[in-house]
Amino acid sequence: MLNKIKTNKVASIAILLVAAVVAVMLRERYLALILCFICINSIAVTGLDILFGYTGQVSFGHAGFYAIGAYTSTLLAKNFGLNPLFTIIIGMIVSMIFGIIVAFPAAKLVKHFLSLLTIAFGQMVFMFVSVTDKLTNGYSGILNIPDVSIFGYPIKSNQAYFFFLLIITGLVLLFKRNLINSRVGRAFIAIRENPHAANGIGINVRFYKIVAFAASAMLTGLAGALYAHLVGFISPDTFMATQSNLFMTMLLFGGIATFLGPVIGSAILVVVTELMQSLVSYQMLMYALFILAVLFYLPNGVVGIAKWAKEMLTTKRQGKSRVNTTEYHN
Amino acid sequence: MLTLQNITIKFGGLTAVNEVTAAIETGVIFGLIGPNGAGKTTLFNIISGVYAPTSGTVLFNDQNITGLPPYKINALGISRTYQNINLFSKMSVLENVMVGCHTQSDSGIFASVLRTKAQQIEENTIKRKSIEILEFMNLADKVNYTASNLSYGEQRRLEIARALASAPKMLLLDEPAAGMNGREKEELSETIRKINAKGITILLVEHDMKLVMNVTHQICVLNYGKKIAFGDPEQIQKDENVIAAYLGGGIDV
Repeated sequence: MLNKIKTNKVASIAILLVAAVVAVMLRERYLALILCFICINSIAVTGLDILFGYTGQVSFGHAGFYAIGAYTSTLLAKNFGLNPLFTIIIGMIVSMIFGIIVAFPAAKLVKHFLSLLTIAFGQMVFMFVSVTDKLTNGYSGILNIPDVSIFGYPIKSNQAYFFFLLIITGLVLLFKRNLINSRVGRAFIAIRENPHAANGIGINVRFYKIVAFAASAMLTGLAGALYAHLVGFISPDTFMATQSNLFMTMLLFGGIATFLGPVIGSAILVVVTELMQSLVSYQMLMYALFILAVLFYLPNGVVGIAKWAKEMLTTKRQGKSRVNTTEYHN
Repeated sequence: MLTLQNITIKFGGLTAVNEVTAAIETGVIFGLIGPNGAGKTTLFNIISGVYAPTSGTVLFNDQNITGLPPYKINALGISRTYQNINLFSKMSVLENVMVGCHTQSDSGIFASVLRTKAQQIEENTIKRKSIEILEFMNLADKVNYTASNLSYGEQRRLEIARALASAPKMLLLDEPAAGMNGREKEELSETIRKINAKGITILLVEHDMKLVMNVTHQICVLNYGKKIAFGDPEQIQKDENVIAAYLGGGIDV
């Protein structure tokens, strides 16, 4: 009982702290923009987590889905004047369809072969948006992407957009948790743990691998579309292989196959990237350092440390109480 | 229940299983024995769909299941365990069995994401059923353990529990006693009989002769991929071909 109150206290203090930071950040346009980026990356990385963390299929080409979502939504909103709220959903669906197309060959591959295939996919999308001048305006990119509007009220400020993103991120996280704690989620994890046994126990491995790809591509496509309407400008530069690596770094650093890992990883990496703006040419080096840190010291990411610390604290407390009881008996 | 007709499988030049024909009746405990490399596990893999035979047919309840993928064969009612333990090692004991219920449930992706009423009811049923199976397999106190933290014998029992979760009509046990001590083996014989008493036909591959002779109703003996004997345990123990295969035949001078 006492423990429960204590953890509740810790949790509420943490939430209050985060809320205070958010409130301060929301007072300034630039800081609010960072909050928006954290939300968008959380959604994209959650998508990657479903694929890599839970189903065990690696992808170094998620920038491709990010680009498909962004360009689909942008082109439809700009060229046909459709409501961005509607085009974002279409962007999601188109990205999902591409996910299924990639999954058909990908579901047969594992490890480095799958890495190569996904890298190739990311590069293909990047090349496509770079060279199709007529459709995507090539390297110059697309300017003046319309704002999202809800019931006729356009969401113009970063602050308002943040609340819009907060709701979507919350829903995405909730849906992901539901999915993982279900028959489908168990099938995903079973495939990651032992594909042969999963097949033997009645799971159609190929089908669920494709489902995971579809869900993953859909979420990353959603993030891409949200990004386009936030920034108002997209160009191929945003969707280079670096972006795929950044998603992977966020996921690994936050903690794979965890509920909050993608959010924590996104928050830390976005903030660090913003702080290092002046050293932009060293960005890849910095991501490499993050990955090395994960490989050598944090196999389960930041969430892994938090869990470890919690375990240490509880065993320490239990240890103490055990000592106390022996003293009492003496 | 299960009929094998002239099953042959060749890996390159090696004929691992050669023209094996056998019929397993409903409700029996059927033993499959033979020296190392006789093709027992290969035959298991053919029945469970891991390999497609080079020639021959497998009939299950008069349905041709030759060459179907493993997940379809499992859905039809044939479940198996593995010689080298194949658990989902990072999942909990309960989750392992819950995964086993996959073919016995049908909530789709959308029902799962939205947590519909029907999906929640189904989840609760799966959980209850899994706990029942774990109680049956004497693992109820280990429900929340991670599978890899169980002892060897417990892991073997968990494999059987997971196989039972798919409500099989026929259970294939591939060397379930390997690595078990004497007491565990006795408990295993008891468990096999209890599973059989539920009306599940059992096909057992095992090297422990005491266990096989003790528990099976019929035995088929393989050597170098060929069937050399078939009968009840007493007949098999007296069969000259079998004795020759295990101990070496007389020397022809």
